[in-house]
Amino acid sequence: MEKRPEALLLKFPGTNCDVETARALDTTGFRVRTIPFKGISEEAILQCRLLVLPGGFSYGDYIMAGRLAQLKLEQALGDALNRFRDQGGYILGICNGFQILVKLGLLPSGSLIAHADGRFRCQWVKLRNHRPDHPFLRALPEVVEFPIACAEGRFVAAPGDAEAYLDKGLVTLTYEDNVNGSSAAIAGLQDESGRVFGMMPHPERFLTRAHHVDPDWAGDPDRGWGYYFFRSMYEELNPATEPEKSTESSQAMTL
Amino acid sequence: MRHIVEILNRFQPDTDAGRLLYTPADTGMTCRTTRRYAFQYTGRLDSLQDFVRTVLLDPISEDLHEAARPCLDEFAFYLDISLKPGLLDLEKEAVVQYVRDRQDADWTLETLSVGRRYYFLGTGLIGPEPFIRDMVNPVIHTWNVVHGTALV
Repeated sequence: MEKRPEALLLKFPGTNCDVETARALDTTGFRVRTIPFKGISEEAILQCRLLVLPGGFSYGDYIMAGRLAQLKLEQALGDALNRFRDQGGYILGICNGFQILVKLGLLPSGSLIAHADGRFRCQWVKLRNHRPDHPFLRALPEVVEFPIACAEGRFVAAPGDAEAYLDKGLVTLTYEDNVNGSSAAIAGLQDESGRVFGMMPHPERFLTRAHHVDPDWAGDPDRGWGYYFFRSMYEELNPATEPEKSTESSQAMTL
Repeated sequence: MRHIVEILNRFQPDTDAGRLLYTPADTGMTCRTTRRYAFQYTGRLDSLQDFVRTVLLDPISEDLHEAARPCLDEFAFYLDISLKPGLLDLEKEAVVQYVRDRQDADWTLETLSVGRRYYFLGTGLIGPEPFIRDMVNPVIHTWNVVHGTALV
């Protein structure tokens, strides 16, 4: 019997980060299954421990990023994702997956819209870790770096909501330098249960030290922060595992 | 019957219109962009309006304008751009396909036209010709210019 927890990757037409996300999950211990949207079922979702909506441009981002994927998911699954979460499953949305989770209402109310300067941004960003107790973030330092690559990554919400999310602990990551004009510099959110987690940056693109844009980056001797991001969730779902943590020195260093 | 909607992002700032030109120039104008959908339909209008609000509109960030008249005032001119009929418009196809997949709709879509409207705001130094030259591809686009109350 396979003891590795299963991660299910849901692939829509236009999803394009599924391969590297599957590699990140596999590298950190998960058994990975990628399912095209046409083959999705509630049974398949309920069998896994972690459902991942990877980045990309689902349905070409037509109308707005994530809208058609949201509508198709609601048509196909109803509130199966709510049931999955309520039964203890974790849901992760990265970039376009984050946009879909917000549209589905699984994350706090808001919207991810075009950046304030109207441009696609592909760059590395520094992020503040607001929830070091969260299974995805507990092995990461206070300030962490990941790449972003998006045109519609600016989180906006009704007046006062973004600050309320910060107060309630629903904001997991904020941009140190608010590169896209997000409300309260929000880069990542979780729901009240902590089981639904979305973020614009791409942790799957920083698995090893060599992935970092700076060849002299010395945050960790071998791994990138993305490795610890996925690995700590693996350890959450597989408690018998010996915890892996980034080194004390690397956590303390200024990035 | 015909129903026209225009959707405006309320967080989108006015942008420098000169940046829309291949050779950015000081035009003295700013630009706002909206999405515009024209439905030819039969059936219940309130159901179509419900569809627009739930499918095409993001209530957090966008305002809906349901009328044929422009949603902004005081513009120098606006430029409507859409794909020529018969060309593959993937956004339109996605919307049409979603409408066809819905079993519960009590309205029927006959034709849909999807376009972008560019409002040029302010008393500009130039007219629409440079923008048409640089933003419109006459092979694939149809376009239309309407002058407003602000002087150019």
